[in-house]
Amino acid sequence: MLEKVLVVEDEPDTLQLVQESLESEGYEVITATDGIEAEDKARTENPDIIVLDISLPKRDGYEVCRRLREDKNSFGIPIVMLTAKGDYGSRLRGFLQGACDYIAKPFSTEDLINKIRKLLSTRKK
Amino acid sequence: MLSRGDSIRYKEAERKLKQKIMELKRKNRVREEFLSLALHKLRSPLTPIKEYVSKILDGKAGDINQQQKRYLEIVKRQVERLVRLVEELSELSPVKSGRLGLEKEPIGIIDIIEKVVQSLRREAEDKGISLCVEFPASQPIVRGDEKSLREVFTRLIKNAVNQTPSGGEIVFSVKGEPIVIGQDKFVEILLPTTGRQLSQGKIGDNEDTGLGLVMVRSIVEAQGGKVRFEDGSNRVAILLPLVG
Repeated sequence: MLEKVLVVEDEPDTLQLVQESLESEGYEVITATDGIEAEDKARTENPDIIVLDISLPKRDGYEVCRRLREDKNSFGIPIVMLTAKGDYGSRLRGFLQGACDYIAKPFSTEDLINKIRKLLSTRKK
Repeated sequence: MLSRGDSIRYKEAERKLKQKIMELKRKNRVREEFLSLALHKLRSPLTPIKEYVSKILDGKAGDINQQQKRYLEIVKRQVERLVRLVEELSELSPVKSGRLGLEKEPIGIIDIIEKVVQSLRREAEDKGISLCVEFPASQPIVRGDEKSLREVFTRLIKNAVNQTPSGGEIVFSVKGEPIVIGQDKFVEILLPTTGRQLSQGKIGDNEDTGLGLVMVRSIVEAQGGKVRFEDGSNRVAILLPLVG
C-alpha cells in the first residue's frame, strides 16, 4: 500500500511542486490549504506523515501541530514543518509544538523527500 | 550650581532626547519588521522557481535544446545567487538589530578554530589544498559567543579555500602577543584572503553577494572585536577582546 502524505501549504505553486515531487516518488498525496482543513484531513484521512507550512490562513501551523499532538488519534503522526521562517526561534517553536523535523524555504524537494523517507523508516522500526 | 532656569531647560532637553530615542527605536523596529516580512515573502517563491528550473534542466519535462539549456542554466545560477542573498540577509538582520542573543563568555580561541578547521579540512583536501594553523603555546581566552565566532571563521576560511588554486596551502595564525588598544587587550588572528576582492567589499567566490563581509564585521564588532583588512597582503586580521 502506498504511504500517504498530507501536504499543507497555502501557496499553490509550492503545493503543486511538493505534490508532484512526492507522487513521482510513489507516495499518495492529499492536500490542504489552510489550518482547519489540515486538521480535518489529518483526523479523517489518517496520513502516514504530514508536511505542514507554518504561515497558513485560518489557523497557523504551530497551532495545528499542537492540536494534533493533543489528539490521541493523530498524536503519533510525524510532522515536518515547512516554512519561510528560517530563524532559530521559529525552528525551536516548531519542535516545542511537536514537529519531528523542519525544512526552511527555499528548500530542495530532494531534501524534503529524504527527510520524509527517514521519518517514515524510523516509524516502521 | 544650576539656576532654576537652567534646571528647567536641562529637564526639557532631557525629555526631548528621551522622546527622540523612543522615536528612533520605534522606527528601527518598523524597519526590522519590514525586512523580516520582505524576507519571508521573498523566500516562498524561490522554491518553485529553483526546483522547476532544475526539473526542466534534468529533462523531467521533456527534451530541451542546447540554447534553452544554456539560458536555463543562467536562470538557475541567478536564482541560487538570490537564495544566498536572502540567506545572508536573514542571518544579518538579527545581528544588526542586536537580537542575535550573543552570549559573551570566556572561550578558548584555539578550540574554536580547531573545530572549524576540522569541519573544513575534508573540503579543502578534496580540492588539493592543505590547511595549516599556527597557534601560540598557550590558549588565548576571549570573551564572546562561540556559535557566532565559529560562523565568522567558517566564512573566512571557506573564502580562503575558494580563492586558493588546487595544490595550494592556506596558512593562518593566532598571534601569541596581544595587541593593546587603549585599556583593552586583543588577540590577533590573521587569515589569508584576496585583498582585491575584499577592497570591493566581497568575501567568497565571484558568485558571492558581498554580504558575508558585512556579516563577519557585524558579528565581530557586536562582541567588542575589530576587523582589519590589510591591503596588499591578502590578509584579514580579526581582533577579539581578551579576558583579563
